[in-house]
Amino acid sequence: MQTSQQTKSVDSVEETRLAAQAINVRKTYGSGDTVVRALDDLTVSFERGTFHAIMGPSGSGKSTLLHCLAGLDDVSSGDVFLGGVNLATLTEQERTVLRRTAVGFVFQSFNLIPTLTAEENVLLPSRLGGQKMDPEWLATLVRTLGLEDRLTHKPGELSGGQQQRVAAARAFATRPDVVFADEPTGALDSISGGSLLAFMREIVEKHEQTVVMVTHDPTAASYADRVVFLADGRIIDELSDPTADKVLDRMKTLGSHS
Amino acid sequence: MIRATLKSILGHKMRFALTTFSIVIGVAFVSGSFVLTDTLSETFDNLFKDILSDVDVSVRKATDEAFDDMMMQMPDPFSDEALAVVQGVEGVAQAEGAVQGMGTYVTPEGEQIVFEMAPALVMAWHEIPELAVFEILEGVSPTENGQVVIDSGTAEDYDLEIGETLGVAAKLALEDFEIVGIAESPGQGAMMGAKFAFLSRQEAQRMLEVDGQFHQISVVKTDDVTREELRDRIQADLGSEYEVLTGDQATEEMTEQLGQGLGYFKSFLLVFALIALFVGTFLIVNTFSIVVAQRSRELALLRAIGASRRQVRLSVVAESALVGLLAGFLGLFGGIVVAGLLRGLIGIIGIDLPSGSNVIALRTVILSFVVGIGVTVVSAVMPALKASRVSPIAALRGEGFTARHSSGRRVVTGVFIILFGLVLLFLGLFADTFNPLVFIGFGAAGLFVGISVLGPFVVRPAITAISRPAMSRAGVPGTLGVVNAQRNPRRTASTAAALMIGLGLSLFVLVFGDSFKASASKAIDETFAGDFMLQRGSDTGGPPLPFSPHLAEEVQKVEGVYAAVGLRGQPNMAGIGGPWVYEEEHSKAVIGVSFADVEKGINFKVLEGEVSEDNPGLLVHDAEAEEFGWLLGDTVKMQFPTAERELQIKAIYEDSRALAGAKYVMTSEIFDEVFPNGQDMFAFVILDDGVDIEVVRQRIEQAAESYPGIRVQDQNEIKEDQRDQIDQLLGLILVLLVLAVFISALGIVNTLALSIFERTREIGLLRAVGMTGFQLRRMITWESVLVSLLGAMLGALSGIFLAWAVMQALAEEGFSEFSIPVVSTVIFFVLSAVLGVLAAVFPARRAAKVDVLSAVTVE
Repeated sequence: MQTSQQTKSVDSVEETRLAAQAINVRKTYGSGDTVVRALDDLTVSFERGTFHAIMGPSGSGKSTLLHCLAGLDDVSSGDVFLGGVNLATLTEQERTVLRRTAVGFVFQSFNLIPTLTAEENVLLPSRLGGQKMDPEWLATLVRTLGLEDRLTHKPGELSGGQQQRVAAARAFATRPDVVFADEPTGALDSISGGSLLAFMREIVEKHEQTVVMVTHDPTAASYADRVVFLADGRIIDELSDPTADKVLDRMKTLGSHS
Repeated sequence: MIRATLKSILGHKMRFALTTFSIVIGVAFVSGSFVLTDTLSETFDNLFKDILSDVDVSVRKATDEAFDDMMMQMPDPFSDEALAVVQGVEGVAQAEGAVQGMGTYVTPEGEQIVFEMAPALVMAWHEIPELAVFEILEGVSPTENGQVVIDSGTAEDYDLEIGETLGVAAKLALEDFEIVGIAESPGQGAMMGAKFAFLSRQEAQRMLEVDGQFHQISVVKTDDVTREELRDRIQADLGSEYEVLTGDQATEEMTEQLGQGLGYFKSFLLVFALIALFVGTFLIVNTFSIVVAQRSRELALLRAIGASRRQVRLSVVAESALVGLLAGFLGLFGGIVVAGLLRGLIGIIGIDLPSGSNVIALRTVILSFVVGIGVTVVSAVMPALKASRVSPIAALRGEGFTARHSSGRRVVTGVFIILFGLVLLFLGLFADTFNPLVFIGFGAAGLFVGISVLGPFVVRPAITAISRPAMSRAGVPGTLGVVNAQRNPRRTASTAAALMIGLGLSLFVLVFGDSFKASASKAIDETFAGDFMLQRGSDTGGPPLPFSPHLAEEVQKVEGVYAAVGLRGQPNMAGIGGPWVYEEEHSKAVIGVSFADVEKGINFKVLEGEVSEDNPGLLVHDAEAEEFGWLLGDTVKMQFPTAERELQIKAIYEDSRALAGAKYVMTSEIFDEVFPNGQDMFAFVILDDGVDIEVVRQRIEQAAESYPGIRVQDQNEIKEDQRDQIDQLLGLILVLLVLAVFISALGIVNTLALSIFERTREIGLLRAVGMTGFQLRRMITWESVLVSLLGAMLGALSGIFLAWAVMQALAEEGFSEFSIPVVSTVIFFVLSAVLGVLAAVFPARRAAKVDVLSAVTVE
């Protein structure tokens, strides 16, 4: 896999600086009169070592964008690069391997295999690839996320917040190019949600990791370094070093725009 | 509610199809058994009527009524003076005597035509055309010495033509006859592949050694009497020593006897149908349990919006009834296919069944639906009860059922059912019950059900134990497969339990068969009397056939032979040996042997008394003597079919296979008197000391050449032969059991498919975090293989136990050696694993198709 990834990578300094990139991406559903444009000629880049948030109203295409960036869904046209690899050039098998090595996921809920312990869930991607996980890195993640006492528990024995933290540890386990998080705090109370995001922020800062998070919660977005606003499948605005209030303001203005 | 039920069925077509199919197979087997036997019964009826329509009255030697229930025997011969008496009766237009017996033919190429499931007969040609069952198709009838007419089927099968020479042997040794004609019967189909060689009457009497005798007389009446009147007149003139029947009675009698035979056949088939249905029951219980669990929220919602418990229960039962209805319908027609397949299977064995259009009796139709709906609905009752217990609030809380059964209650129930099964089993095996097989059957069923009830407790440790050897290399898919197999112990247990039944019964057959072989070998070792044994039989196996007593006489004369001991008998339902009855209720088998030969060397142990040529009489097995309280020197009153004798007990002996398992032995002279059709079943040959065994063997074989079909075998060859024959029988039974295994494999497919449906999100998640399609398929295959190996393990334990129990009961019959066939058992486990792999193919493919995106973005 290593060699094929290298040959398929785009050879430029710009690309290696970026963890993920979408160029002129379109995603349409249906055809003819009933065609729905989920993503409409969208171009966006996500730098490494940064915590990105994607915001937008329902139906703006933010989840679709996330799925396309992660290789879970195909684009209708345009290119998606992940860690410098053009997803369009990969077979399904190669994409699976890429998901295992270059991407991490945190979903809103149901992130863990109920039959495996917390630790086994964290180790799952490496084990699927037949690799041993770096023990130091595992220790770091466990410590940062406060999971020391929870490793031998099954998901059913953990609180919602703990489950999401295990999911986060799993997502960062392979030191992926990007961790995609789809409303990771959506099912949590504000305290658990806040601590999860704080942990993720800490990992991004201290260990040069990249997170792209979809959210509709301004407070959640305030943990990010950068917020991208989406509407009707297009990037309509961007905000750096956001606070919750700034995000809320921006959303209000955008809301009155449309 | 009905609409909700229909929706539910249509919503899950695959599940519906698999569930239905599992019952269809069982129902089809039931209806197929009935269709086939009904069809055969009607076809035979018609054929018999064809054959016998012209015979107004027939006469034969009267058989004691104690033998009425026994299967058709070759009638005993009687003096031809009776013919003159019959011809003198007023109202008799024409009458003719007939003789018939078993024979062997040899084609010009030297090919032997022997009994192969259907007999090769030697008969006298009917000279009176009205009485002839066969008509000459080509050539002329056999009127002179040295002429033979054969039936067209045999002519065709063996490519025989008029003018060719056919060797014919009966009680006399092989002689050459010229084929002068080929005959055909309108009732050919009723002969089931029987072969016919017609000789002139004198020649037939000579070859069968019944000179001056007939086996039967057929009569054509004049127009002025009825059949009944004529029968009564002839009976009056002949006296009670003869039995006189009208043609209609004779037809009825044949039909009845055939009906009895078909009845056994039907019962045999129905046993397998029941096993298939039993396994199907497990599958349905399991499917509906899973479905109810998956639908718990939906059912709770129904309850929340006002459906009563009864309505919820009804909706589940209604779904099962629809499944049953469809299964009954498809099974009924599937039965026609099954009937055809069974017919083919029987054809392979060598029995030609007459063809006729399928008879689908109303009884078969009703039964198919009753069985289909009955089995399905009964199976769905438990899940339906469970469904109705769901509380309306559960829908709001979004939860299913919490298991209400305490595990304590489950243990008690399981243990109770197992004990109940064991009691029935042991009653069937060791007690005197009205029908031991029914007890054993229900006992085994109880055992299986009990194990499946207790199954959930062993699932976790058993799966861990089974998977341990492979886990180090199985990786994540293996680990997850193990975990998945263990996560719902009840589901895994009942899926494995269904498999346990088919596999358990298969292993039972294998172990029992192996023990049977070992016991037989041991018995042969212990009792094999001499150097060789003579037996007659077709190359394809089947029961040993009687052969001419002259053979032993001939072999006795061979240079280097010390003794050739023939054991006289005739095959019948009571065993190998002539039937007789003690005190009008105990039917027994007796064989005849020359006491002079016994003195010379049959290897059996005399406990009391002595066997001497000068002291003819009866020898009795010690267990029998004990049962009836006989002592040495007592006189036993023996009722034979057409004679009665009082014989003195000359010796009491220990069990011996050398006597073909016979419990009674009498002097061959007496045997020949009371069984005029008696022939030798086996003969032992003992050589002189110090002779070259191979040389003498060749001489014996040469002497036996005139008696086609005779095989000269030494101890090892006999064992080999016996093993082959047992294997053949085992093969047939295993083929029929494959059905049950197949159904239980469907059970795995179904359970897996339903589980996968349940775990869609989890599978999507696994795919999202990097599990490849291949790894996913491996994970599901692992789960399937583990479930199937669990079934095999439970099956092996119960099967071996059952075989052991049955062996204990049969210990007295000489089943002394308990033996587990190692190779077969290993193959059995390997095949079970393969079965698991195959069962996983479809569910795994389905799982691999799960769309990652839709799985992770539900809601």
